[in-house]
Formats: sequence, structure tokens, C-alpha cells
Amino acid sequence: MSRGGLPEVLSVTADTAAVGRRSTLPAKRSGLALIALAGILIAALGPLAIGNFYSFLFAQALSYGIVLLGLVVVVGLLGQPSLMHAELMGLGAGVTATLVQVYHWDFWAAGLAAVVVGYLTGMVVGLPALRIKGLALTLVTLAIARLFDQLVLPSKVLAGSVVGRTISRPNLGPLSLDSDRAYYEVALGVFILMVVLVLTIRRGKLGRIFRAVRESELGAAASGVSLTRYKLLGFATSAAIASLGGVVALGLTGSYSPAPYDWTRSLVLLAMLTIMGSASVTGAALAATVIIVVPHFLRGFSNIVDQATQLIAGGTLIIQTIVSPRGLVPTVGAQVREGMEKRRTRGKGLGPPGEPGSIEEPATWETEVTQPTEVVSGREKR
Amino acid sequence: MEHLDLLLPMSIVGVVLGSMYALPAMGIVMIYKTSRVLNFAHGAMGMFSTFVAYQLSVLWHLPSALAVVGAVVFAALLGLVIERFTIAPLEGKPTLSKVVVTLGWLLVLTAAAGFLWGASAYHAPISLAPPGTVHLPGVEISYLQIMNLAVAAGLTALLAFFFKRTRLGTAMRAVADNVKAARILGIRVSVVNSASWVVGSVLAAIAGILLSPMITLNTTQLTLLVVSAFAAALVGGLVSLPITFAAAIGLGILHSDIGIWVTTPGPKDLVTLGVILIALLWRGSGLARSLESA
Repeated sequence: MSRGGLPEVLSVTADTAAVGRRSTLPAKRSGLALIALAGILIAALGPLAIGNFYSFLFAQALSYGIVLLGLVVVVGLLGQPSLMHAELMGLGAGVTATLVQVYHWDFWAAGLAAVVVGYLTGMVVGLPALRIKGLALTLVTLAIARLFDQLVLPSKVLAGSVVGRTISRPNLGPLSLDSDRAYYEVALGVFILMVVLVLTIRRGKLGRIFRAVRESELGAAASGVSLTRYKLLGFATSAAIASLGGVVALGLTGSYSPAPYDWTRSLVLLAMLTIMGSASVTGAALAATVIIVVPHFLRGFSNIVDQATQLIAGGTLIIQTIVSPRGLVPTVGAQVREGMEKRRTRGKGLGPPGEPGSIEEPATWETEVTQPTEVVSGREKR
Repeated sequence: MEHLDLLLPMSIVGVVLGSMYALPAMGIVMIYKTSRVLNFAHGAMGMFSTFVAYQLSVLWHLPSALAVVGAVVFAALLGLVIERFTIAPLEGKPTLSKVVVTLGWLLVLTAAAGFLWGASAYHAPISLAPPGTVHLPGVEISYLQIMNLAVAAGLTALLAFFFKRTRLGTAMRAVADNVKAARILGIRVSVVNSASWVVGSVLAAIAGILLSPMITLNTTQLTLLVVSAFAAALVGGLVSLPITFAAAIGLGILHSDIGIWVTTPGPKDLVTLGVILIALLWRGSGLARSLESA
């Protein structure tokens, strides 16, 4: 558990920092930064406590966490559900494996090239967005996912043979990453970088533009936002991050085959992220943990585990969308913050106890940030 | 180009295949027109009902006719349950949340079918028509193909009659045109929504059952039939049933004819994607408006 919590601790604080930006006092923010730092430290020192095997498992979870961060950009910020992110992950792994095995590239150079390929692919996928609005793009991603499953990922170019490709564990300059603990640290580093990137996007001008597009394409366009440009940018960034996740996964396992990157995996990724909270960085970390680490403890049932994961993910998604569409992390986060506000106001004697939000109203801001499913709730069906 | 002699027989297979795309495609259009939901689970619903027929006929050795009736009843209930308990409660919520629910059902139904019948196992086909073929000048057509085509054509005609002549069908068209006006006129929109899901689910089930002897029956193939069905539905602008039907036949012919020259499934998917993109771009603005409200 000490391990599973790590990336989350880190990003809970990061989340809260982002959300509370308008409402938080400087003192509290430095406190949050301290917690974030402590979280990173625990995550980084974790492998000393848990050994190689679990380092491998959590490094794998981190690689999926990176893919899910990519999904956050396109689903959570831009409001466009993608059904092809596992395929993009596979693309990253496949391109890297090919460049390393066939063309004897350095792993990291190959990985960089794979990320560029991912970025360009994301742009091409986003191209129909020039004319297509709304959910039709999700349909396009499903069709493309199918195409990738059948044609691209198992192709001779990427997979080589039926068994796929194998490469050896890369080194980081002079540092050997042969131990899974060492590789875990690299995966963690990449994950944290991506967390920072996504949070920067979310908090910055780009994030505001993405949210504007998500909430009303017409409105955004009317305010002078180029829908084409920002949709393409969103898709491309998201796809590049997902490909990077594939690169990290490939370095860890050393093998590429198309099997783990099919449309059902994409669907599970999307479902888990939506359950956890689609705009939430913490949600991405939690979802990755649930997808990779939890099934591991059920490994005794092997094949059935995949189906069980799908069944539970699907069922939870349906129930949760009806009961509490905001997702787990935002819902819990709002409650925690409310509790904190209560205690703080009471401690300082500001306002009567039991009256949350007498100073600030974090809840309203919260809904604005992480509630893709309810943004257009005011709009009537025709 | 070699193998041109195969063009006619393969095209006939394609027409049959296309008519099997047409049934779920029309279901998708119906559901979209009444409740404004792109139903990603449509193929999965048909797949699950098909496996119910498989269970009844192949595993429990019931007569085929009885198995089909059982599966159709199941499909109707499935459509009703999904609409009543998971789509209707989201009335007034953004369409995205309803689509997310259909994605959830897609996962649930695929995984459940995997549990019950094995995701990659071999499944003996349901025998529906006697084996054998009819000889026509130049081509041979199997009884199965004739039956499939007849059922598809019959159901389409029935659907046309249903929309034009029955109260419920007229009510559906009214809801599709204008929900508010329909409600003011006393049409029970919730009943209409349920009905469209029930009919849509039954159409998908029948298509799945008829298609199952023509393909390898497994949980993935029929589930992803939804992509081809979507392609046809999009050519019809998610509105027009006749154009959807024609597009489905066209797509079926394309898919089948490709099989003359390449045997891997990839190029088929490339064609489907191409059709989806062309349909979206060609129908662009009109669709955009209707999907914008979605």
C-alpha cells in the first residue's frame, strides 16, 4: 500500500493546488507544496522498501499512468472521449522497438522519435475535427482503433513477426537500469514530468481555451478561438503523451506485441479514468493503479481477470454516471476540502461552526474544473 | 485485375452482408432520432442476444425457431432494461453522459459474454437454413443467403410500415422531429424512447443471429459490427432510413469484394474508416448541427 499511494499522494496535492489557486491563502499553498515534495520523496524511496518485483509492477502502473495523463488532456480538458489510447500506447512501443531492433537506434532516441510519430498521428486523428463537432469524433477514434488493431500494430513493419519484438533494457547514459528498482525511478521521473506538463496545461491559457472548447464549441469559436488549431493541438499532445507511456512500458518489459494494446484495453482506460474523474491527475494515477496493480493480486484466475476488470469497470461506469457523474476524485476532493474549510474557519473563529464556505466557495470552482459530463447540462435536447 | 469472375458471386455475398449491416444501422438511427444517443453498445447488444440463441440452440439443442424467438424476447428485454434503468434516468443530462453509459454497456456485455461463452473459443454456428444452394445462371446462391436477404428486406418493409401506418411509429417520428411539440401533443416520450431501444435491440439481435453462420462467431466480431453499422448510419446522416439501408448494402458489397484480392481483415477496416470519414465530411455541416445538440 505504501507504494500504491505514492503517485496519488503527490498528485492529490497537485490537484488541490490547481483547484484551490483562486481560493487558497499563500500559507496553505506552501503547505501543499511541502506535502507534494514529501509525496515525491516517498515515491522515489519506495523501491528500497518493496523490492524488485513490486518495483516492476508499479513501474508498469506508471507507464499506464502516463497514458492516462494523455487521456486527461483529450477527455478531461477537451471533452472528447477517445477510444484509441491503448493503440497509441502500442504505437509508441512498436515504433521504438522497431527502431531499436531493426535500425539499432539508441533506445531514448527511438523513444523520442516514437513520441513524434505519436504527436503526428494525433494530429491526423484530430484532422476530421476540422469539420466534425461533438461526439462523432469518438466514433472516428473507435474506427481508427479497430484499424490499428487489425492493420497497424500487428504489421510486419512494427511487430516484425507473429511473436513481436524483444529488446534489451536500456541504460540511462552511464547508469545501468537493469534492476527494476532503477527503472522504476526513471518511470517515476517521466510520470512526474507529465503530471507537471498536464497541470501546466490545465492551469494555463491553453487549459482555459480547452475548457472553453469543451463547454461550447460555438461559444469558443465566437470568442476568436481557432477550434481547428486547439483541437489538433489537444489531440496531438494527448497522443504524444500516450506514446511516451508506450515507450516507458517497452523499456520496462523489453517486448512488444500488439496483443495488450487492443480496443478493449482502450475502453477500460477510458472507463477507469472517467470513474476516477476525467480531468483529474490524481484520477489518472488511481486508474492506472486499479488497472495494473489490483488485477495482479487476482492473478490466480489469470485469463478471467481481464474480463473481470472489464465487467467491473463497465458496471461501475454505468452506475457512477447515473449516481455521481463527477467522478470519484472530484467528489471526494470536494468533501475533503469542505471538511478542511470547516475546521479552519472554526479554529480561527471566523464564522460560526458548521458553515462551510463562509470565507471562500471552493465547491463552485471545483465543478467548473472537473466536470466534463455536466458542463452542458443546461442545454435542452431538441 | 485477376479474379474478376469472382466479382458477381462475391458481390451477392456482399449484398447479403450489407443487409445484415443495415438492420443494426437502422436501429442506431432509430435510437439516435428519438433519444439523441449514439449507441456504442449496439453491436454488443446484438452479440449478446446472438449468444443467447447459441446457448438455446447449440448447447441446449432446442429447435432453431424456438431459439430465435427466445433470443428476440431476450433482446427486447435487454433493450428495455438498458433504456429504462440506465438511459432514462439521465434525462436532461448532457448527451455525453448517456454515451458514456453505452460505452459502459459495451464493456459489460462483451466481458459477460466472454465469461459465459469464452472470448476466443470456437463456437459452432447456429443452423438456421438447410445447407445447399440454388443455381442461377452464372452464380450459386445458398439458402442461407436467400433467407437472410428475405428477412432483412421483410424487416425493412415492416419497419417502413410501422413508421408510416402505426400510432407508435407516428409517435416516434413526431418525437424525432420535435420532442417538445410531441410532448405537448400528449405523446408519452418515455414510452417512445423505450420502444425505440426495444426495436433497435431486436433488430441488432436478428442481424447477429442471421450473420453468425456467415462469420466466425465470437464475442468481438459481432460487437464491432457496430462500426460498420455506424458507417452506414452516418452516410444516412443519422436521419434517413432508406439512405442508411442503401449505404449498408454498398458497404457490404465493398467489404465482400475486397475479400477477392486480400484476405486479411485490415483493408476492410480501412474502407469502413474511409466511409465514416467521407460521410462525416460530406454530411459535415448538417451532421454537425445535429451532433452539436448531442
